[in-house]
Formats: sequence, structure tokens, C-alpha cells
Amino acid sequence: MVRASVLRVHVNRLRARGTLSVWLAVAVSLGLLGILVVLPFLQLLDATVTWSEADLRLDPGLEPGTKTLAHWKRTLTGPISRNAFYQPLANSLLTSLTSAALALLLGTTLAWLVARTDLPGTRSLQILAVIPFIMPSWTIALAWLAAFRTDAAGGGSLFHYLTGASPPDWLAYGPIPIVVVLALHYFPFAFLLLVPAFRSVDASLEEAAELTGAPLLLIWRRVILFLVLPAVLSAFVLTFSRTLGAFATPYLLGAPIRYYTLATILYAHLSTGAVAQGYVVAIVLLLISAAAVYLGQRLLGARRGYVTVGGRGVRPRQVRLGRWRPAVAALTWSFVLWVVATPLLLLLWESLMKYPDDYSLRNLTLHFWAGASQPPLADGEPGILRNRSILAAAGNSLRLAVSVSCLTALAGLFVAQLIVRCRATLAGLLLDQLTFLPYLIPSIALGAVYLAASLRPWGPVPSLYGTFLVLVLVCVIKYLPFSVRATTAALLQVSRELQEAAAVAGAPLLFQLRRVVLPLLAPSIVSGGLLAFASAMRELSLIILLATPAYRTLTMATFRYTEQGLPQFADAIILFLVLLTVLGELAARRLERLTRPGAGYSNGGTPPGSR
Amino acid sequence: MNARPPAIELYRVTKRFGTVRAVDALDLAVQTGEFFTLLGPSGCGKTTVLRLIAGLERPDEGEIRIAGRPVAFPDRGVFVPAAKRRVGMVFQNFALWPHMTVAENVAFGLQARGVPLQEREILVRQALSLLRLEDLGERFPHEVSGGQQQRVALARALVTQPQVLLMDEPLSNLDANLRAAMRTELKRLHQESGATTVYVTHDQTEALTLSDRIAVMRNGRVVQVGTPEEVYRQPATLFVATFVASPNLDLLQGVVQAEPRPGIRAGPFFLPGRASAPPGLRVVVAVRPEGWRLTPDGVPLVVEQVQFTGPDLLVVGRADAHVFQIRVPGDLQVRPGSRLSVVPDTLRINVFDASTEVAMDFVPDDSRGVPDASVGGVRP
Repeated sequence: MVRASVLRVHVNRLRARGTLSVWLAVAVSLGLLGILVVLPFLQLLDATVTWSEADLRLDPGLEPGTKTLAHWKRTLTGPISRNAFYQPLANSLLTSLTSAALALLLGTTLAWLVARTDLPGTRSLQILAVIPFIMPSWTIALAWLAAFRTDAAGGGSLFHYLTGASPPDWLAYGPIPIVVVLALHYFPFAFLLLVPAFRSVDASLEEAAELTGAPLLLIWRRVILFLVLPAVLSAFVLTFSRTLGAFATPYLLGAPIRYYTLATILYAHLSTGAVAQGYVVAIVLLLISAAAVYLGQRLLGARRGYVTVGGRGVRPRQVRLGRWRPAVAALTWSFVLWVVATPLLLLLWESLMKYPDDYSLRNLTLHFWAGASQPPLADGEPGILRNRSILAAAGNSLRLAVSVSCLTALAGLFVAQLIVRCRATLAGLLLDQLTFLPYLIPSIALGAVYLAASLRPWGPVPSLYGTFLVLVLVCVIKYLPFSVRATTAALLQVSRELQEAAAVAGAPLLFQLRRVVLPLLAPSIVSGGLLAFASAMRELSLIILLATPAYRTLTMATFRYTEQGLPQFADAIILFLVLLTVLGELAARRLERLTRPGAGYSNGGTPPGSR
Repeated sequence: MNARPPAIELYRVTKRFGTVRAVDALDLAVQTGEFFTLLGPSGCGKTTVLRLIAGLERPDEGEIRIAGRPVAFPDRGVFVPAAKRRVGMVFQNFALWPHMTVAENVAFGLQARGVPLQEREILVRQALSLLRLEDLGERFPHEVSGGQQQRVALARALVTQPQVLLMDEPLSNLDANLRAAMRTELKRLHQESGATTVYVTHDQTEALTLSDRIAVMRNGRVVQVGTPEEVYRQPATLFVATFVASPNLDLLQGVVQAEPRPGIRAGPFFLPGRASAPPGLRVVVAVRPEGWRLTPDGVPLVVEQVQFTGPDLLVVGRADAHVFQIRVPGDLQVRPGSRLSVVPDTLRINVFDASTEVAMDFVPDDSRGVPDASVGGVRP
């Protein structure tokens, strides 16, 4: 009797504290994330130590289903390990480290110029400079091919047209073009990370140093450099993890001469049936990249402390470029314009060429855009605007992007709410870390993880390979970290007090959400959705292992046409994608800026300067 | 028989955050129509008490009643959400909804309660004019000044005519001039609206000037409840004395003595009188700047510093190892290096047990102390 009433009191207390439903929601989300994030990875791991039917040709003596380390041994120490693992590993490290360093050099210089000098037009420069990063990652690679393609890949290049000679192989393919193209694609990433760092160097720290009478160089060496160094280091590590996981560029510019990196050898293994070996490579890639991102985040985390403190109002003074200003401006502007415009113009021109070797005006045609089927030109395929298979691919891309963006935004909102509600508890932390996990995994490796998981049925769930659902799931899981982070930040910014004020004013929960919380969150939700949309539209490495012909997307179509020697189609499609993704991202960024403090009404209820 | 229950009652209310007891078995009763202040240093739990009353936090234990009705009683599973408590609240950073105009902010609570449009408009206009915001209705919060934002927050809290008005450090985001003006304004509003008000602050001046009663809080507990005069003149503990008077309070370590003459020896002074404590007990004597008397036969001081505060002077004087702060009339001619002679005014001192820091009774034989040397005896 006594015990029953004590129990009732406890349950009542829990219920009165209103935490019962929250914990239920947390448990459900943790379970779902476990199934979608942790389980696939375990299945991948399991597949690398299981002897399958397909492996019988390697060793018919082993019973399928046996647990064995043979795949690991074969990959890491076998006779083919040199060509199939160590050489690609070395290539990967070489290209990703050099391209990250180059990207960092470009990004840091540009960030400093934009953030700390009186360079003219920094505002437009800031938008323009980001475009190479927003474009599908292999846009510049396609342009490079247009310029330097050799006969090895279908022939016909600007270089050949102008010089009459075939470009040398080292210029067309291999480490040099890969490094350059990756650096040009990823320097805006470093730039984006570093501009806030340069901006938020607290001016008073600098002024305090100046008041001691120290010369400018000493201030730079002892104060400014020291303050931004962690940011620069972390930018390097994060850029490295990106270039390491890059797939499309190294594939397009390396595969024709059999120059493989970890990401491309992984693809090669899987497409030649050496599945388990591909999985082993995926795990290695995943570990290196996760270690790098983790390190980068640690460095960034250490920095964040003073960046936010310094980031308030105190604007660092600008360095006057003086008589160097025109020269520096001309150089910077022409570099950025060149990086943005050259690839796009080259692709546009090539997409209008009847034969890819002839840049004269009479070779121009609209066939690849809008022409009807005209065999034998382009193997009889009509222009992209009338091409059934391309339009079907566009339909797939759109369906994927729309479902992914809606789901990501919704799931992000849900998880972010829970994380904010359960902050500083173990469950909240776990939720946060679990959603963040896919961020550590390079896209192509995550694709491999999902491939391994979707090939096998699991409990009541049938094999999902070849379904549209698996494409949606892998994209949502990959983009969720961004959505959750952005929404959490927005939720924290829409200070809790605004909702509480509505509660005190007598508004029921739904009324609070509809009238106060949603209107304030809407810009970030929409911008998050737009970002996911743009990412899904240009997604390739994440889904290339998973998509079957039935669900071919536009991005995969560009790949196929490049391999088929019909670059004009690839160019036309990529230009369309560039347009769509750049517009989407720019719109998202605009919205995001709206929700930042100091812009319009969006300071979360805190009057400016009152804190 | 009690005709009316108190407006707000808290019985043994406890609120934990993790292992920290933010509010610890707290009892409190606020009478209807009262201006009641929770005063304490940051982290003492005063804001949590306010949020518990508002319904923004749920207590772990205890019971909260508003107008006699239980609104939170975890043992019985009772919890009335904030939206149904009919309270108004002014947040520390105002929490005005940035996407609504001033008028929409004020109208929100009426809308949420389904007040018809026409009536709503009248009430909003009344609230805006009560706060002198008539012309600002169409502006957005970021388009009005800090003081005006504060008034919008007040109008929003008052428009629904709540039984209880809660304010969480509402003046801390304003500059000094505005703060003084708003104090007067708050007093006027309280008199006009008659709403029971619970006000949270760490500023003793605000608490003393505005309140009918003050509860001084420390570590999640109420240390003393009383009128401003009581809290100021008869602090229950040394903490209350120092917090309410901070920072200008001189503390003298002393000891109770019975022979040769009953009284307290404290620093260079002897305070004749009867203490409710055994001889030999160590005590602390608190003297406020206005608790000193200038007298020719007092303890001689050398003036070290003179601070002009307007109506009077605050003199910092030294006698051997002791430094005292003394308020003297503004026309007194003193300069650093001048000599003064002072004794404590025994009617205006407070005596605390040095180990428990609780106030003790002290009935002085005389209205002033004397220099210790004139009494003789063994020094403690």
C-alpha cells in the first residue's frame, strides 16, 4: 500500500515536470539514428570480414558466410596491395595535402584582403568568390578537360585547336590537374572559414598592442598571427578532409591514365566486383577523414571561445593598401572573375559546338541544347531539352532534391528542438554527436556504407538496394548535421524568453508555435531547406554507388556523357545545375543573413547594444 | 477567519537543476496588491522563484498557490501551465517579439485569449496611453529606444489585467538616468493598476525605494522578509546587513563583556549596554556611514580621503589599523590630513554573533559608544 502510493507520487512528479514526452521523443530519435547511422556502419564492417558467394572465385575452399580476415589481408598485404591500396593512398595524401595547402594559401590571402583591407568592392567579391565552391565539384574538372583533353578520353580540346598538338599527359591528367582543380574548387571553403576569423580579431587587442609602441610587423607577428593561427590550422585540416574525400575530380582527371586515389579506387573496386576490398578502402578513408575533421573541430572549438567574445561590434580597423590599392584590386578581381567565368564560358562554348575539336564560329550549334535527334550526330540523341532520358534524370534529381530538402528541414527542426530541450544532459549530447557523425564520413565512403547495408535485408526490413528510398535516406543522413546545427543556432538565437513571453501572455502551445516560434525560425528553416536542395541537386559521390539506372540523376548523366565522349551534353547539364545550385545557395545565404543579429528585426528580442 | 488568501503562496518549494538546489524548501506569501521584491546576489535563485510563479519552471517539490488555488503541486500531479495562470511578466531583456509591431506585441495576449477585435483595440489603446506610447504603435521593437522597449514590455504585461505582475530585473538593461525615471514610473503604475507585483532585482536601491516588502535571498533560501525599513535597520543576518548596505558598511570584530562594565568591546570602541549573549562571545558590530557621531571625546581619526556625494561627504578615516567610512554634513570643512574624533551611535548599530552571523539583541545603556581606552580592562 505504502509503496504503491510512493510510486504514484514519483510518477506524478515526473509527469508534472513535463519531461516524460521529451524523453520519449529523445529515445525514439536516438533509436532511429542508431538504425540509420550506426547500424549501416556495423554492416559494412561485417561485410569486410565475411566470405561471400562472390568471393568463391578467389578461394573456393572457404564456405560462404565464414568470418575471415582474408579481405583485410588481401587489401593490406596481398600481391595487389601496392597498386590497389598503397599507391592510391600515397596519391590521395599527395593530392589532398597539396591542394589543401594551395586552397588555404588562396583562401587566406583573399580572406585577409576582404576582411582587413580597403580593397574596393569587397561585398561583391565575397559573393563571387564563393561560387566555385557552390558549383558541382567537377565543373572545373570538366572545363579542364575541355581545355586539355587528350585522345585518351575522346580527344578534342581547346589546346589542340589552338596549337594543333595534343596536350602532354601530365598537363591533361594526373596529380597536377587534380591538385589545381581541387584547389580552385575548395579555396572558397577556406575563405569562408577564415573571413570571420580575420573579422573577429578584437580590435582592442590590436590597439592595446599598438599603444605599447610596437612596430606594425611585431604586432603582426606577436598578436594578429597568434590570434588567427588556430583558425588557419583548422581551416587547413577541414579543407584537407574535403579534398581527401573528393571523388569526381580525381576520377575524371585521374582514371583515364589509371591514376587512382583512395576515393576513386574505392569506386573502381566496387564497380569491378571487388566489393569487400572496396569496403576496406572505405573504412580506411573514413578513419583518416574522421580523424582530420575531429582535429579540425577541436582546433576550431578552442578558437571559438574568443572569436565570439571579440565578434561584438568592435570592428577591426582596415589596413590601407595605399598606392598598392589599384594593383592589388586588379589582381584580386581578375583572379576571382577568371576562376568563376573561365570554366563556365568554356563549358558554355563547348556545349554549343557540333564537334568538340573546332572552336570556329561555323561549328556552333544549338543541337545539344534543343536539337531533334539527328543520327549519327551525338549517337542520335536529341538536345537536353527534348531528350527523354535526360528529362527523366532531371525529374529524378528534382524529386530527390525536394524530398531530401523537406525531410532534412523537418528532421533538423525536430532534432534541434530536442537537443535544445535536453542541453547539458547525456542524452542531448549523444543526440548531438550522433547526428554529427555522418559529417565526418566522406560522401563516397558513406555511399559505400549504405551500399553494404542496403544490399542485405535486416530483420523485417527488406533489401533496400535499388530503391529511391535509400537515395533519400543517405542524403538526409549526410545533410542532417548542417540542418541540425543551423536550426539549433537559430533556436538558441530566438531566445527562449520570446516563447515564454507568449506563454505568459496566455497563448496555448500551438498558438505560441504558430505566431512566435515559426515566424522567427522560418528564414532559417527555408534557408536550410534550400541548402539541402542545392546539395542534393549537385550530389554525385554520395549516390553514385547506390543509384540504379531507374533512378539516374542529372549528375550521373553528366558522368555518363563524359565517359561516352559527348562532353557537350555533360556541359549543358552541368551549366543548368550550376545555375540552379548557385541561385539556391545565394537565396539561402540571403535568408540566413536575415536571421543574423543586427539585420533588421532579427536580433531575437534583444535590443541592439543592450547587453 | 481570513477573508482573503494571499495572492501568492509558496510552501516548501524546491527546484533542482541537476544536483544544484536553485530553490531550497522555500516558503513565501505575497499579499494582494503588494509590491514585493526578491532581492539577492546573482545565482541566489530569485529569478527561478519568479519563473516558478509564472509557470515557466516546474517545481520538484512543494506547492505553489495563486489566489488560493494550487497551480503547481507535483505530489498530486498538479501543474497549471503559464498560459493559464493569468500572470503578466516583464523579462530582463524585454523579450519583445521582433516580427510584430509595438501594437501587435501588446495585442498578442488579448488575441491569445480570444478577446474580440473592437474590445482589443480599446484595451491596447488604453495600455499604450498608460505607458505614454500612443504614437509608437506602428513601429517595430528595434525602431524604438531602450526605455520605450521597456515600456512596451510593461504595456504588454499589463494589458490583460493580470492578477499578478512579475518583473525580472526590468531596469538592468537601461542606463542610469533612465533607470531612475523608470523607478518613478513603476511606482506610479503599481499605484494605478493595483496589481500584485513580484519584482526581482540585485540592486538594493531599487528594492528599498519601490517595495512594500522585501525578501532577501541567498543560496535558494529566504534569509529575511520585511519592509524596507526593517530590512535596512534590523537585518536578520550579517549577510543581509552587508548586502543591503553594500558597499559602505564598517565591520568591527568585537567581544561581549560583563565586567567591569557590561557592554561590547569592538575595535577601538567600547559600547556600553546589555547583549543577549554570554560574556566572551565573539561578535561583529556593523556600523553604517551615517551611524557615527562626531564628538570631541571620541576616537581620533586622520582623514585619508573625502568623497563628495552631493548632499553630504563620505570621509574615509584611519585610527591605527582601523579604517572607517563616515558620512558627515556637506558643509563640514575636512580635507585629507584633517583630524576628526568619532564614536558609533549605539542606536544605529547592528550586532551579530561572529560564528553564526545571526543578529542578536543589544540594549545600549547610552546612545553612544566611548573610546575603549577610557574603560580599561583586558583586551580580548
